[in-house]
Amino acid sequence: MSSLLVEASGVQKSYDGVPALRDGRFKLARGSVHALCGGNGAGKSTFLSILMGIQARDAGSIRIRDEEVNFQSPLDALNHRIAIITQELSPIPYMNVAENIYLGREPRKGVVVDKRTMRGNARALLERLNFDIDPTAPMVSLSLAQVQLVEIAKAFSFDAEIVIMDEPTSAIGERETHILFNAIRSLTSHGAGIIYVSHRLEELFEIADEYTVFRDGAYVESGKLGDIDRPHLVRQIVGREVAQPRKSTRSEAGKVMLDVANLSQSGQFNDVSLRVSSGEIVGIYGLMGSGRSEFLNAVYGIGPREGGTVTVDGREVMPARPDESIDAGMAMVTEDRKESGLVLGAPIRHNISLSALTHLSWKGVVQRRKERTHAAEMIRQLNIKTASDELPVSTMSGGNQQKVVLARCLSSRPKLLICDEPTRGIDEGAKQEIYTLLDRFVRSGGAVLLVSSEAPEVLQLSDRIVVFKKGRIKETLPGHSASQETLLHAAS
Amino acid sequence: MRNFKRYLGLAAAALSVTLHCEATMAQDGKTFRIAVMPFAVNEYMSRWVKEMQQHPLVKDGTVKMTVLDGKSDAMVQANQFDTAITQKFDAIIVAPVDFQAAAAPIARASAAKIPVIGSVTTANSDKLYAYVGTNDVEGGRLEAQQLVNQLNGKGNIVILEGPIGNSPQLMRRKGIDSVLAASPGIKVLASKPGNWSRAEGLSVTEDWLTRYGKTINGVISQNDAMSLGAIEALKLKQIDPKTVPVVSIDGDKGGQMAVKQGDLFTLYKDAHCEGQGAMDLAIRAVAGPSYQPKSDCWSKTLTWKDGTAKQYDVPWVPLTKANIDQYLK
Amino acid sequence: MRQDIPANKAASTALPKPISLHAVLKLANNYGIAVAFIALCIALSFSSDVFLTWGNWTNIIRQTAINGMLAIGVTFVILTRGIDLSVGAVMALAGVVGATLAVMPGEQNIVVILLAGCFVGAFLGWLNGVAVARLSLPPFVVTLGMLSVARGLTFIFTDGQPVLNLSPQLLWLGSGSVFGVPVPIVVLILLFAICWFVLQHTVFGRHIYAVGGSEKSAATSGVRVKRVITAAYVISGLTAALGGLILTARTTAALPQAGVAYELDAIAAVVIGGTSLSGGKGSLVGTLFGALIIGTINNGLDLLGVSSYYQQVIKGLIIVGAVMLDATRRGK
Repeated sequence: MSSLLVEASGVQKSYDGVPALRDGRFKLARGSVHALCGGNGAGKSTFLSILMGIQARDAGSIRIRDEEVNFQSPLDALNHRIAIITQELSPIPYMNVAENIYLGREPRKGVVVDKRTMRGNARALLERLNFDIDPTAPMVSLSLAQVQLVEIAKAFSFDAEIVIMDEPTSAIGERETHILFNAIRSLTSHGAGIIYVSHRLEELFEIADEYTVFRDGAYVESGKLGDIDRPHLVRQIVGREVAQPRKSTRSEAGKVMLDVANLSQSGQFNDVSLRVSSGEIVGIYGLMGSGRSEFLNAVYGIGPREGGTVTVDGREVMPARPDESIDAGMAMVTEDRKESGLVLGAPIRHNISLSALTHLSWKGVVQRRKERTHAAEMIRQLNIKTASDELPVSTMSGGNQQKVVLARCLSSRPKLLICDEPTRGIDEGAKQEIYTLLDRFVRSGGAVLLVSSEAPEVLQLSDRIVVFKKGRIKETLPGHSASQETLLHAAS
Repeated sequence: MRNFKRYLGLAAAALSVTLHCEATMAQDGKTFRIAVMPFAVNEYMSRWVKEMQQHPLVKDGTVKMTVLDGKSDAMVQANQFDTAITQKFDAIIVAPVDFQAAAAPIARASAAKIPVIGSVTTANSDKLYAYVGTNDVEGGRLEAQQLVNQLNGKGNIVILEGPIGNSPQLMRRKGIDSVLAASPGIKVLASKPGNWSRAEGLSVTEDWLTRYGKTINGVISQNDAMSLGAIEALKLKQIDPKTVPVVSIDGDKGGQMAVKQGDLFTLYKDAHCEGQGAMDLAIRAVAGPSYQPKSDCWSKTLTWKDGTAKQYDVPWVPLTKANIDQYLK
Repeated sequence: MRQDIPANKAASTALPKPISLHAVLKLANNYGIAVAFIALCIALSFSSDVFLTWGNWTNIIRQTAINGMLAIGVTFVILTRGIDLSVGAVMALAGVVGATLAVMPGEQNIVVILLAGCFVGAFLGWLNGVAVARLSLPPFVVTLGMLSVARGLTFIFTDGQPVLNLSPQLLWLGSGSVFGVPVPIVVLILLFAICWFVLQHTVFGRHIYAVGGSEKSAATSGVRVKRVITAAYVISGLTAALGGLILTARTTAALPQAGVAYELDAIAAVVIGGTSLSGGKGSLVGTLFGALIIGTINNGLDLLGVSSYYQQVIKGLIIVGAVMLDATRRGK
């Protein structure tokens, strides 16, 4: 029995004459967690979709357990015991957890679905993985993190030997990530192989044994993660030296821009007070369920709040009035840009101007030329990559979409920028650009309040870190002297 | 996607080509284009149209009929008048949707020198070339009188009507009322529109039976469909229709069956003469005084009067068990 | 930096390459409705030599005017991902209210009549809007209920009787003309021009598209979603009222049973015109063509002597075809 589960070489694929993959090389050994790294457009997704049977390759060879294969459909891949956990979560909302897990392969009693067995199987599976989820709960009642866990459980239920995980931790918190990693270790100890894709590089160093880097559609390098360090990996991915962003040498914080006093919402957060001043970035860190996003939403006005006050630069803002918040000088980048940040079907230009139409119109009539100029300027400033601002935002990559969201926020000339997971699902290059942007924003007098579940991100960006735990502020740490350990310790 | 657009165009083209290819043979080289406008395409109106299609000059192609369905909508019919005017039809035969609303379109057509012949239902207009139809006032009178006679001038009755404002409803009610005024022994317990529908006739009568029970002695219904509903309601309550007589108007298939069973008295509405009579008058209006009518109605039921009279009453034929067999097809 | 695949694909469609399959499909997509309309007219012109005359076309447009007005208002609602089933009934109510004013003793100013009718439409539309936006009730159910309520009110208001003997002021709306153009057509053109401008060039118009595209994103961006949705229903009620007054004038009587099922033709016009039922995509130009196609089909098929039963089947097939088109377009 070969020790190589997957052996790919020279894989090529083009779309409409444009090459997406020029030289795909990959080796997955039994019992190994292998990180596949690369920025957007590097060819990772193309390679994986070929491996999954979604696309056919143009050239090259792929061997699964020493057998040359040429998958025609995802079913072929499944039959070879390859399963995938995707980034795009698409549960069936009104069915329950068990039904979603076993969709299409429900245990049957004759013609009828055997619901009890299905539930039992689901419960056993979830327990084995140590996921605290009720198999009878309707999907629509679960949080984003729980939905992702169900997706993971589904992949595990296929009893696959090769599991591809594409950004599996993008929506889940520290605790669930820990649980997932245990499940992964248990899988690999039984001889399975995992192909792990994630932009969270620290995770890779924690869970993966080996790595392969793709760049510009071709294989660059592979090896053992134990032999390299993070800067090396980043260098290989990005292709050039990326200066370690120096901790901010920002001047003293100015006047108070945001003053939140005793904010409460039953079941979410209780008696939270904090201040953000101009020139500073305040990061909120906490485990999933600690109420961070609900708090941000409530401050901005897209989530409810019962008690307390929110004051922006001296002006009090009423609850549930995001239009007033914008008027007072706030802007918000929400957690899920596709759901509540962008109008996907609308042109880029319209998305950019949506919050600032009052500035770009005269007596209610939109000044189109002014709008076009403004959009062009934002696209230039934020380095948004697009052939035309007329295209719908749905055609853009995650990083570019997030930049459009930021462009929209910045268009209303805010004093305070609120960001919920600003770099979620974004490649390394765009991430850095966004960090630079935030830095520039506060240097010119703005204030930033952000939430992130990536500890290194919080540590790098924040001047002050507020730790949330179970809906309350547990403690506040200065950004410079904190470390991942102290953060995690405070949050759990 | 492109295909859908193409098919749309093709379908329309195919339709137009097919109908264009219809062979038309004309008598002495002249064809008359006549627009026929029923107020809807229900059972009676379909019969009316069919009778016209059986007219000798339609069958041989001298007259080309275009049927425009009014869809029970006064606006639609008004639009159809405009279309007929623009399309320069030679004559229009119409069964107006609404007594009032038809007046203006008829005037427009008349001003455009297109003769309009009314039939079946009438309009509040003096611009009609002629009206040929059963007299609804007379119809109401006849059926009401029948019931009064059957009850010997004493009893309680209920009345099922068509939609308020519909010309048959107005006219028939007028006739009914005139009889009731002369019959002091008859008391009207209730009257309600059944909207010409059997289902509504059934539910309204059921409600009445629940409310008035055995005190109801007779039912006047303005059409057969509603009366059939009423008869069903009676039977459901175990009441023999022979003990509570139901009188009606129309004489359609359903009504005729009920008459045969002895459950109903009704007045036969002669679609044959309403239809073909109108057709002859229309041709007369276009062809001139030399035209001799071709339908057999003129020898049996109607008098031609040189085709210049304003009103041609098509007589009602009372249908009872005695004479029903002549009419049952 | 290298662009990723989706952006590349988009780039190839944006550049004007007449030979590219993508570009041709996009053109057909955007202007397909106009192409279909022209094809239909060409086909029907074979059926009668009078089809292409000025007289017949004035007819068609005048006959389409009322449905067109309704469809214009309904477009706003559908753009916000809603629907309005009550427009036919609102039409009738506005018509009888206006007519009742018109027959009262003393010459009633046409402006007063118009305002009264429009008030009825706007008020009922506002009720719809509040129920949908603030009470978060499904638009289908709300407007279905309003359909019944409005229709019932119409019968109660008139005691089931038509309102007759309308003043010449009101009748002018139906039979008069301005510089030789029939009033209904003038009203349609004015209404279309105003609404087109609002949708394409004003902040409110942008907000309508944003709310329809993604309510949550619109809210985050500072759009007052509830107000925008309510306004859409008010507009729908207003155009229905206008249509109702013109219908009343054309029929020379306000019939309480007028406008039955008119909402179906209005919605059909909007859908055939390319506005998506899931909101955020569509245009008034499309709606206008949709209404014209329906009007032309009614007129053309009538002239061809096609039985009204077949007409219904054909119309239904076209609607289904249009919705299928919309679905495939969205799936792209």
